[in-house]
Amino acid sequence: MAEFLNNIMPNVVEHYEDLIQATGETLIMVFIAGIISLTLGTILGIALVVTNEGHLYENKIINSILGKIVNVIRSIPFVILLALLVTFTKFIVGTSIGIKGAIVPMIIGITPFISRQIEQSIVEVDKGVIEAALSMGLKKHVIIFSVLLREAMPGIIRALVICIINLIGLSAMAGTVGGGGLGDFAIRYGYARYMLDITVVTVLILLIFVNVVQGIGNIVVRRISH
Amino acid sequence: MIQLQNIKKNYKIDKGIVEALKGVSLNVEKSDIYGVIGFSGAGKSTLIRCINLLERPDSGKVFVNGEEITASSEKELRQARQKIGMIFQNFNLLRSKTVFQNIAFPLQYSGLSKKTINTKVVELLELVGLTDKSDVYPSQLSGGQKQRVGIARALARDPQVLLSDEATSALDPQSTHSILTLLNDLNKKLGLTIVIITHEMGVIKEICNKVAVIEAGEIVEHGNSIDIFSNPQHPTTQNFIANVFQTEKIHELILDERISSIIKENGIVIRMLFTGNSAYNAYISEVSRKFSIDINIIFGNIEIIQNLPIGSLFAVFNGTSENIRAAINYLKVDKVLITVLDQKAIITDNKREAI
Repeated sequence: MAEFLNNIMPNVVEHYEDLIQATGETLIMVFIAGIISLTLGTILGIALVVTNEGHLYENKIINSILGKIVNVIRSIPFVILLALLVTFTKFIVGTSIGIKGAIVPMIIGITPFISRQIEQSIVEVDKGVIEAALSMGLKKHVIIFSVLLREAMPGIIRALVICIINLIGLSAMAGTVGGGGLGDFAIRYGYARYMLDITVVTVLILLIFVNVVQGIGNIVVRRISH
Repeated sequence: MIQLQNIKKNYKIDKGIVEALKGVSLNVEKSDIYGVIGFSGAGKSTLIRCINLLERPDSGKVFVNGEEITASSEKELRQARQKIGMIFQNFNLLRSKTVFQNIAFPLQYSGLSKKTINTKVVELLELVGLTDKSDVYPSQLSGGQKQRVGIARALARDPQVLLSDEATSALDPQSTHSILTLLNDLNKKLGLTIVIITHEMGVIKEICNKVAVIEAGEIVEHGNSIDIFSNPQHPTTQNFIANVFQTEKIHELILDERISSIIKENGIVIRMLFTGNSAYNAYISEVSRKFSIDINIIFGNIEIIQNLPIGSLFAVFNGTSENIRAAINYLKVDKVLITVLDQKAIITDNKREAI
């Protein structure tokens, strides 16, 4: 068996410790960046909805400012964002390379995207339901948490899945500028040293990640949709 | 119970301003089932939303149970709303919650104990006849059942007033009837004051003791249902009533040769509307005998409104002009409402409709 593996992917076998470490790094980056950006994105998404015209906390100025910030960040390609944020990242986490250095731009890159996704799911909640909640004399914050978020949950889970899959992609890209993780691993060995087997194995691992996330997401959405 | 005083509400749209309500006043007394009827765009939805301030009027005052809610603070308004239940055309139930959780929802933030809430919800489920659907999600219910959940939810905080915004418009006739029966029972059992917005005269006919007709942001006619039904004044009201009695059918009938051929020389078609006591007399045979005219009934129906019958009859009167005139006068004295239908006018009217 060992011999067989050694024959078809000698480089992977040789560097398998690095591979495992890189996989771990990717998981850590996606996990930490995911938790933080989902939190920020949800808050921003809610804010984008409820400050809209005719909504619970209508406020044109805040709505327009938030919308513009989100649009500006979303229009910058991630690789460029990485370069743009070097100083900022150094200021926040003390370094601009490695896992730590990658997580900051990943959060900033993905949060506006999540917030739009969350905004979309919340906007799809029937306005009549909000009206019904208002007619019951409920407080506005109760309506946001117990009506808007609860009713939008299937959409939010779907947004979460897309966001994690995107983060996996971003983590690989961050690797190209010394961010660590599977992207970094594939570039250093697969690309720079022409070790094709390493590139292929990296792709396979990412493929498995994405499918597992999507699969779990689908199951959860099916469970909570009525 | 509810007073609206000179309510005005405008909406800004791209092309200018729409006057949704142009100074509407309304007085709903305790235990009334007050119907507000109008075509779509007449302002009736805005009107009902002004009662619990889902829409804030530009000017005018709203009193509910003696309290001026247009002058209340946000907190007072929330408390007032808890005593005003509301049901909707699209039910507006929470999809993510079961029937039980939907009904319990407004109670969750009332400081009641879990046990009290449970007892209350079980009672409400029984009241609306959905005990067996407690753990089902709204998507598995029929329209009529969804509206029952809506009603139970609206009653959760023991309101004195129930607002119904086209609550039966999305339902089939059978469910409509059962929901209206339920509302009527609640009115009798709990003394609940109900305001109903609708575009169907059938709804008014079935349960409302009072009715207001709204058109282009103004109430054009209001009063007791029985009076409005028997003697509508405004053209819009007459239109709605005509729908109930299906009086437009007479146009088709009169064009039918078999019917037009029975109208002899001097003969005319008249509509007789019998209300109250006049509905119980044997007018046709009496008039026929007294004035020696032949009466041929071509179309008619009887509606029961607030337990009183209203009869509408279209008949051909054949005889001498004098006798016919005398017969009509006789009926008029006895408070039968008489409308003489000009055959030509009807025909032209009908043609106009056809175009």
